[in-house]
Amino acid sequence: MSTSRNRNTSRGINLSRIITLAFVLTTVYPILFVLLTSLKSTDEFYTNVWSYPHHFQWNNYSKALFDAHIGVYFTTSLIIVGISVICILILGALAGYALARLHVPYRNLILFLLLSTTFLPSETVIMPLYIMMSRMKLVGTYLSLIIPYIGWALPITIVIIQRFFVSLPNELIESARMDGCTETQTFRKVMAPLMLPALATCAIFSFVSLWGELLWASIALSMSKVRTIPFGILNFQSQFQTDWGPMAAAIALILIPLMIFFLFTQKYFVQGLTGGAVKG
Amino acid sequence: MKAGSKSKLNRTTTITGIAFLIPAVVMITFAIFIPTIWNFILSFQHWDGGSNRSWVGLDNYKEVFADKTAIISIKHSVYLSVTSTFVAVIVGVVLAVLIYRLGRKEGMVYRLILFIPSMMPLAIIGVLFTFIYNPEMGLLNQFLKLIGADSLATAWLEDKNTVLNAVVFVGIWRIAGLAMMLCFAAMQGIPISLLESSRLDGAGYFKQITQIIIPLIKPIVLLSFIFTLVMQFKTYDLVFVLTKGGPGNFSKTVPLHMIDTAFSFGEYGQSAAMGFLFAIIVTFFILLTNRLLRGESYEY
Repeated sequence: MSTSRNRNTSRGINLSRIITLAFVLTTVYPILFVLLTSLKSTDEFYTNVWSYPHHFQWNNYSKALFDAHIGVYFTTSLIIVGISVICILILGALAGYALARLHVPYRNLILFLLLSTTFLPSETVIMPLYIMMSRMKLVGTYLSLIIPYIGWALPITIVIIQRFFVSLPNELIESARMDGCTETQTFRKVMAPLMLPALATCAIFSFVSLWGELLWASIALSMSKVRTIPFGILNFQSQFQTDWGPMAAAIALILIPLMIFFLFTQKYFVQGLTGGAVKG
Repeated sequence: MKAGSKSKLNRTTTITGIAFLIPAVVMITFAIFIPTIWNFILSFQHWDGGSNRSWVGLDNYKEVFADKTAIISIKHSVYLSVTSTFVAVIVGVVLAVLIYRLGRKEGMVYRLILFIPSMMPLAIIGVLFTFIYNPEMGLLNQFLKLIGADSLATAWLEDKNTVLNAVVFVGIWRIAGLAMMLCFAAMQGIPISLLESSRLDGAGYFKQITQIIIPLIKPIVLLSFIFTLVMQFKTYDLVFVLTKGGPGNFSKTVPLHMIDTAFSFGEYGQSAAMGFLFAIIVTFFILLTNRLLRGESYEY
């Protein structure tokens, strides 16, 4: 009786494994395909689509890096997204703390407004924003991306940080105040060190969502030479259409750092998505 | 005396609070609130992008409804997001339930891999799938050739019958891992004792899934639905890279048509009206999902 049940269970587990593996393969194969193709010459690619490359064609990578400027795009994206994320964290931490712990009037209304903006399709703000930017003569500059990126990522960041501060025990603030700390000192000396994990979550979450932003970048930068990675890859696509090797190398150059980054940070990314909504 | 110092404390904290809040509010106002309100106002005006600007009442909205391409784009947007959300979340829940049963380390590896597409930029995913769907050398047609199903091979993105579902598939591919991750995180919060006692009562895994796990993680399933839906409505990047809305208008979605209307045809007011309608449609589907899936949630 009990052995037959065990056999049933292990059969069930194997079935789960097989189905899961099928999905895992569907997910991973396209990515693997690009990595393999990135090392093949065009001739080899046409004769040998499936298997691994026989003659490694590192040339593809230098083509992608230098002819197609993936390196330049990468640096541009890093500067723009890096500055945005730093500003998002500083402004978001201050505002989240204020909404959680300081007596700000209408705070529930403010929180509600912030949350509702996260559901707004960004397409609705694109056009007026473009007009605003062109009147300020900012179109085509780094700032034309940095300013909206900060504004777009702030609401969800503030909400996550606000929830984090609400979950901290009140005694901490009270005792800091008792010891004679001013509000700014309380924030700097007591609260800021405690919030590093929450900040990491927000940093990674906003980094990933801004790193791939295409719509606004392609409009704000359309007249300029500045290119972020997602926008740059489109140029590349039209330029190298049939040249699969360099194209795949470009994708690999973008994906590999992202995957390494992701390996170390995936825990925080999931926390950012749930915004603390998941127990445990 | 005491009351006086307390209210003074309150006043200083309020002032500090407002000071802390102001920089963030300025940025959000600039990047979201002003453009949204401007967009709304613009939807009642005729404007050519220069100095000619006049109030036209509801004309822009009438033009949107008379514009066949606009109506088709709305249909496509709704079809793409609703179908891909529905399938992706179901796949996500199934995967979470399957992986929950496997070993800790093994499951972690699978979860990591399945989650990779969720953090890839959409433009990159788009380029990746132009490789897969390529008519001659694409992975999909090569695979069909390999298993001897040549007759099924087609130019997936140029064929008006397949293009929409080809895009839907990419939408599912890229987001199912996210739904899986959310549901799995929720399942880890379920006390093991609950599952063990039901097993002693003779419940098989399938019964445990339907009667214990799913009801308990229902709030997170709802969250995944809403989350995925909002993300899938933002189809600009993916559709632009994959098809640019073609062939013809067969995969055109609202964001693409809005950008065309404004920046290629200079019809700013009409584009604004479309944007406002789009926001209403997205909100409608969020509320509908919420309505359909709400229900009692259990404490555990």
